[in-house]
Amino acid sequence: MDLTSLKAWELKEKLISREVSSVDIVRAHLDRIDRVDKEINAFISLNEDALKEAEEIDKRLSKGEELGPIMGLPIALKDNIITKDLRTSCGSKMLENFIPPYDAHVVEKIRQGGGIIIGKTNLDEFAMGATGETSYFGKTRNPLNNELVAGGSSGGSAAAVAANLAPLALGTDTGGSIRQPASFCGLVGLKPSYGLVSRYGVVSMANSFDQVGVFGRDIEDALLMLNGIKGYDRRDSTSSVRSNDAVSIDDSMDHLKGMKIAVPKEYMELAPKNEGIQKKLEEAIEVFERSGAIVDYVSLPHLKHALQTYMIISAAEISSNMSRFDGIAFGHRTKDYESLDELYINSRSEGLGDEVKRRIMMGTYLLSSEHAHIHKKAARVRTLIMEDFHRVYEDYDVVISLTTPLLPFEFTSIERDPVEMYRQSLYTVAANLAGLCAMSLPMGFVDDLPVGLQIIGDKFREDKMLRAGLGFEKAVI
Amino acid sequence: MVSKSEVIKVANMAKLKFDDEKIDFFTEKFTEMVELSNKIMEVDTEGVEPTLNINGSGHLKDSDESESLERQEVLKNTLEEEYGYFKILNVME
Amino acid sequence: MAYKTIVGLEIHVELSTKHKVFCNCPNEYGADANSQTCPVCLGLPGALPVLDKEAVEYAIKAGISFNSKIADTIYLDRKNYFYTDLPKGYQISQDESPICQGGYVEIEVEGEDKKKISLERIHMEEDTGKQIHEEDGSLVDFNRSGVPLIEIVTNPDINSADEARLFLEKLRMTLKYIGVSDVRMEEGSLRCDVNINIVDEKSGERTNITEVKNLNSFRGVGKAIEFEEKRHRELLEDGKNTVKETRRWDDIEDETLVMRVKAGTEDYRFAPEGDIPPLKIPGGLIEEIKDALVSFQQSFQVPLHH
Repeated sequence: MDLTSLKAWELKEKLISREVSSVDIVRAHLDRIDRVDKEINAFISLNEDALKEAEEIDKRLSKGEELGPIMGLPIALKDNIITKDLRTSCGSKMLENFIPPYDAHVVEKIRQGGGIIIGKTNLDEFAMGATGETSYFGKTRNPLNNELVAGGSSGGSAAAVAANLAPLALGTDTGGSIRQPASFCGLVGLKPSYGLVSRYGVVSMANSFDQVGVFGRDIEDALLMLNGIKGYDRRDSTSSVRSNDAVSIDDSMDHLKGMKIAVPKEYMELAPKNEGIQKKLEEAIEVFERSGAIVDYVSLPHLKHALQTYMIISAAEISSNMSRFDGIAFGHRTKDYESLDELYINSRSEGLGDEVKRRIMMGTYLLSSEHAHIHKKAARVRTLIMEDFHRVYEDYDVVISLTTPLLPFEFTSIERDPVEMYRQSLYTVAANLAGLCAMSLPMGFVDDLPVGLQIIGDKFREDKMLRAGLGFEKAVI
Repeated sequence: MVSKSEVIKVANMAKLKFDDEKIDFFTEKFTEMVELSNKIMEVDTEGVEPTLNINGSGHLKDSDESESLERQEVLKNTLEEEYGYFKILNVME
Repeated sequence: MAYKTIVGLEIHVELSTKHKVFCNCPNEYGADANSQTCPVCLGLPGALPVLDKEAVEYAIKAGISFNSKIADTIYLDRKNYFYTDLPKGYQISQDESPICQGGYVEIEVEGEDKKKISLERIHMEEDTGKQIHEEDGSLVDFNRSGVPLIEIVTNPDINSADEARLFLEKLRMTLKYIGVSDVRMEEGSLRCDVNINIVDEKSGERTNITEVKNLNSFRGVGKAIEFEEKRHRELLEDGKNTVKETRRWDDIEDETLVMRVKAGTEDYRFAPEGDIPPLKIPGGLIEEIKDALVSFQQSFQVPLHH
């Protein structure tokens, strides 16, 4: 029996029945990583204590302890999530040797829940990118076709789950960085509502957009992982008390009957060049309708500004969040300086990659006093986008769209063109702007490559989003 | 049109340096991005408040317990330390 | 020729709260270097700030004592710049919406009427770390990083060294009595910068403003003002003017020396602090503090403002 091909909930069943032990599961995955990861490069670091931790879990289980939801399961973490005593590099030379002295809140939750962190996964440097090509530790290949990108920025986590190197993984999503790689790798990728999962210990990219989210091979797995990490955290001022609300989906068959689904007209106007992809969305709409849901095309007029609004605000936030990388208390420090300015300039210029520098430059420009009116304006447009969604959710349960206008593509095909990179996030940024929950789930193939369906739920209405997703998942089996 | 000198000024503020070729590259890309950004200025936002909260008010901390890191944990990631201080070359003007 | 001296003061006061303003490191003076730090006040990646309730209460107490208008919502902003003692590369402060606006401190100069020195604002911010400069290196200690400060900015109502000293004494006494700070200049829990220029009352000619830093005592403040008054006056009489600049007070030589030219000031790129959404001050808290102050005042019979 190949334990690495089983889903998390299937592994759980085998743990409960004592058919396998946590050590069996972790060992199987470590062996597979050993054989397969040199091809894929999903992992930057592995947890050397993973087997020892699995042994501990097995001991506790044999003493009669009840099996928690993620207990004994190997979980991969994107390498911008801080793990105590385990290198956290953010895919950057700047943090190549950084060993954090503390754990992120989500890591504490995993440890408390008995989950086993198997390793830290590759990412675009500091989570900035959508291809997995900007990492200091090399690119991550798509397990479905290794000439192609796995997507980004959470490419490593997506590839890990898609290649059966871990059943569950965490990523972060600021403008689509979980959903797009989920789409490219044929997985479920879920970004929770802003404030549902604590950001304490998650290296900030754009702090009013960032959320930790999950990858799983199906919705049940994704929900399992989500429940393992969500919850109110007093150390994060943006954490919401609503995150303690239970998120569950009942097993009733009729998830979709009577559900009201909105498709943004504006996205239809920004349809992908590949007609095959657009056709898949139309097929998905038919599935929903056949299952008893009502699907309408609805206008969210300010969505056409979403990408620019995202670009401006996120760049401004990034530039400020990246200022702490100065080489003094931690991180790369240049050997070559004779003044304080040189210390900063050389440490940062040596330690940070091109894409990161570009966004810092953009953000610094936007925050400077002569140009500050631009990001102040963008913050108002953001409100308008939020209001558009608010209005729609008064009448509709969920909003759906394509996850991304592209199929997974070859390496270096869109390198160096920042605008092309951003356009990939066309459909995903809105959920980050408005703080909504959103997920991508597989909806078939075009040219043998996976296409993702995006479902966007209202704030803290993960239940509706998951209901819609589960209904769709079941309908297409 | 963003000028080269403006790019250099921004680089100084951001504490980054680039070679001439990169400065030119940035100047071009910068200009493109900025033109895109300016489109946002045309949107009608009369009477609209900027988004400062996604979810409403945060909370205050009110704890009795103090907590700090052990000093060796604090210092372990720096290149140079002395007597418990972070050390850099003397950069006093 | 009659010259009028115009002085505004910028005072930073360390609040004597139990914890630092954004984390629960102890707020104590004199500990071993870097023994009172944590991911938040070190600016480690991933760390997040949470605003301290006691710090807010102390700031409100101070504002009420000086008759300021207290805001109903706390807005925090980032002040972006690079310096060794600033671990995040930005300081969390308040830009356009300080927690207290206006207010005044009443002083009594001998032989004159009482005078109100009006305040422009009082805002909250976090303190930076400290540096020591040695032969072969600069040493940085982040124990002080994240200590809560209030910055009190006066309007340019002060017109002499005596008035400045009286103002500082009154300010200090008030803050000490309401229990929000140790206000010891020698320990750094009270710091003062001076902004000064003079006006020729006949011609209306004004000198450029000089900022004076590195003042370590109230006496130093007085002497620095007198030194600058003279320096400005002499330049005007020579047909010249001061340069708009920052100078530091040298307590040993009893003079000010140029620190840096103020023109081309740093662009702080202020932006809202995204990790701390605007916080509505809990209903009734201001009233509660006011009531507590009134009864405190009555029990000690210290004449505070009403």
